[in-house]
Amino acid sequence: MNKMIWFAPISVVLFLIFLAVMYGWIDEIEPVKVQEKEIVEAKPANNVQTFPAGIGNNNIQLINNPTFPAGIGNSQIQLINQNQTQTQVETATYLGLNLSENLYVQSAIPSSPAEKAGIKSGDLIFSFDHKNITTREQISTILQTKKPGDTVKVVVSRDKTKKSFQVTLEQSFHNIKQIAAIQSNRPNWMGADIQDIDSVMKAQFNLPDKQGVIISYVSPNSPAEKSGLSSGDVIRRFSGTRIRDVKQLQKLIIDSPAGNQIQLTIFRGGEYQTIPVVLGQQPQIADKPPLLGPADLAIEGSWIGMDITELSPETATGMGLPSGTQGILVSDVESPPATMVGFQTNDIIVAINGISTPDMKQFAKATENQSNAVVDIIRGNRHFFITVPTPGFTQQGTKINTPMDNKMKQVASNSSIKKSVVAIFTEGANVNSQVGGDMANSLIIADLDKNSYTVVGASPDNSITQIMDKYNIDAVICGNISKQRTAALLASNISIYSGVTGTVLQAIALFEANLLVSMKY
Amino acid sequence: MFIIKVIGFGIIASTLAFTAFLLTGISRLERERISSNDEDRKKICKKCADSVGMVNVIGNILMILIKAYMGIVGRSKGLVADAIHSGADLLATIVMIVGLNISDKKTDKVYPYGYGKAEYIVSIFIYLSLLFIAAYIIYEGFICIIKGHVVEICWAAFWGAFFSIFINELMFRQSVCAGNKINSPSMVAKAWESRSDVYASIAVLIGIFGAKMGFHFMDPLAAIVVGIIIIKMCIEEMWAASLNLMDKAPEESIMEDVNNALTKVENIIGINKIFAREIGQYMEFEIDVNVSSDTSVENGESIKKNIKDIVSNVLSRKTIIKVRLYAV
Repeated sequence: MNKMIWFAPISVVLFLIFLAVMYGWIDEIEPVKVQEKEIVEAKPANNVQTFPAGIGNNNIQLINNPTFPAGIGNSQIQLINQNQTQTQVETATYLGLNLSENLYVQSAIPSSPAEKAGIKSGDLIFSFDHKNITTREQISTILQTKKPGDTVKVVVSRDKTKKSFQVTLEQSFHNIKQIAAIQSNRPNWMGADIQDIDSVMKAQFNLPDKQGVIISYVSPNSPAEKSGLSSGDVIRRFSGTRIRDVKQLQKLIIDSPAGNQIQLTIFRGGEYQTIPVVLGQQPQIADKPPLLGPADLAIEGSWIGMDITELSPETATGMGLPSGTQGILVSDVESPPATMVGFQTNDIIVAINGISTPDMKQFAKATENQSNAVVDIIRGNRHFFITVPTPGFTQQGTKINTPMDNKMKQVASNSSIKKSVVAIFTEGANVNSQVGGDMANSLIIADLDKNSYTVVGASPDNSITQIMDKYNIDAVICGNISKQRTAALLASNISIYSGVTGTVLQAIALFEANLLVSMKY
Repeated sequence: MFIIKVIGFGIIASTLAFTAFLLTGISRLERERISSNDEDRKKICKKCADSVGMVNVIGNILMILIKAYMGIVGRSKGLVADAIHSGADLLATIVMIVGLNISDKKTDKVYPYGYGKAEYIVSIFIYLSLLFIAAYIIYEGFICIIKGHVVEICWAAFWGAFFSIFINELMFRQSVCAGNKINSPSMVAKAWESRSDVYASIAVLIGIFGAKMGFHFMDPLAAIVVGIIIIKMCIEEMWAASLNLMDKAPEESIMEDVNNALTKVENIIGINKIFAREIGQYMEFEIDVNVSSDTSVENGESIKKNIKDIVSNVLSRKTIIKVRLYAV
């Protein structure tokens, strides 16, 4: 008797077990459904009468009442616009040049299309897409008509000779901060993605307070990894200097010489440790394929107002992620709270509260019975924590007094359609925090001309009007605003965009895309 | 995903090819039969009957594969359950073949009576595992109905069920025709038995139609029905296997046949007792007969040989016969 005969019944039994597993799986996965967009309907009058008519209604609460009486400062319009811009901002083209007023290239952003094509700083741009140009605005106007992937001929003057370059435009980065990170991380590199701590993170990671910055991701083969830092560690001190926020640490890292050994005091598992880290140079950033989303996505589910789908290996490679990346792809961010906490299309959720989410089943498990969550996402080539607060709370939990920070930080913005200095009221002290009301703690002043921003803390001796005068502000973006302040601002000829939700970056993107509606008399 | 598509294409293509082969093959044989004389007709029918076994095995495997694939892709719980049901049928055939192999093993010092009973133990284990699977099917089906899961079934599931019913019916027609022509009642009986599997498939088809019409609970309901059919089948098989392990006597009709045959044997005064039991593929008989006291040993041996020949002729299967003679 040959022993092979046993393979027959065993294989059939295994096949039947496989079928049984499939049988159970069939209704586990959410079926593909056509998502119906919610139509915002005007609410009946009883809701309207709670809002006093007029400009600058500070009772407005966007989260709870997405419908408003028609009229000035109508946040409903802003919300709809935001949905529209979602696609517009995404398909925006990316050139990657910092131009001076007289069309000299101040710098070509590393690994941007312009830099790849060979444009260097010091070049003077003559013509763009076969059109002679004289102003920066012309380039912006031409760029608006282009799609990512289009090729544009750029003629420049370099060392008194004419040179022409073929620039293949790429899809715009979503995030000013990302470009800033790429730029600023180049000279000195630690290899850890860091974020400010908010109260949800504090609760989830069991931290005693919100001091320091938290590490959301450690790049492989980086100095941080070699020295033993890991995700979830909180950096409290940098060679003796107390760390307040991300910007401070970034500056400290950039300022210290490469190859220097620094001492990081970290808080891990309830204990303080001091870890020596030798800063290194960031290796050459690999050419990133454009962040194009997959063409047809099967919407497999929705969570906190966004459509999510399982990340297939093809999609992962198409987005330039390392092979073997598993997670949940955000295919569309539709409504609060997802829009509020800063999710973006093509984010990849890899873990929630430390539970990894390689597939829908795990994701469903991880999101079950979660009131607040720290979500580990991959955006571009970076890992982030995004916190989802318990309904009714802000990400910050309670209002905190952020220290004053007047340092101007140079960031690059990829478009400069409209030139002005904008002040944005915000809850936190960085560009990823939420737009707040005019009673908010901080004010971010963004100079869209110079592509720079600064964070200004509000204090009694630093009144809003003084700041407005000092920085020569043209517009104010806020969640809501009081009547008195509206009157004061309008008197000094400052346009007001009230009722804006989302992060500061989103607000700037909306503003630049001309999609905000200003208040009028 | 690409591999899944390739597999699916292979299954669908082979199913269609098999169906086409059956249809053309049968119709070709039928045409030949009509146009030839009596002598050739018998040959053609014999050829057809010889192919029945192979056609059934291939057809059943294809049916399982197409039901499983279409069930999973088309998201029909009922069809997947039906695939498991067909798989259980195939398992029964395989267990029989394995049993044959085990029984062929020669007796040894450790097991002087041979390995015939191992088949029953194997089948009990296999059907026990199937019982769990069936219980899981029923449980999941109920959960699905209670929680009101809405599974959008695709028409692929319908085609899977349709083709499995169609192939089953074709194989039934061929078996019955061939069995009648070559005068083999066992082949006809087997054909009717396997036709009863169609009832499960029809239930599944109804379930798919119901779900398509918006009654989403009907597909899991069909799955539950199939699960119950599997459980019934498992319990029957396990019951039969344990009875055989307990050395249950064979059916009355067999014993009567043997008894009648023995009365024709010469030089026997009476039949003392006849015991019989199943040992795998063999049937073992213990026959005690009375003979006159002056029978010589030589005569006695010839009587024993006579009895063995007669009894083994009565039964159309392998037998082990032990005869003892008692002097009266």
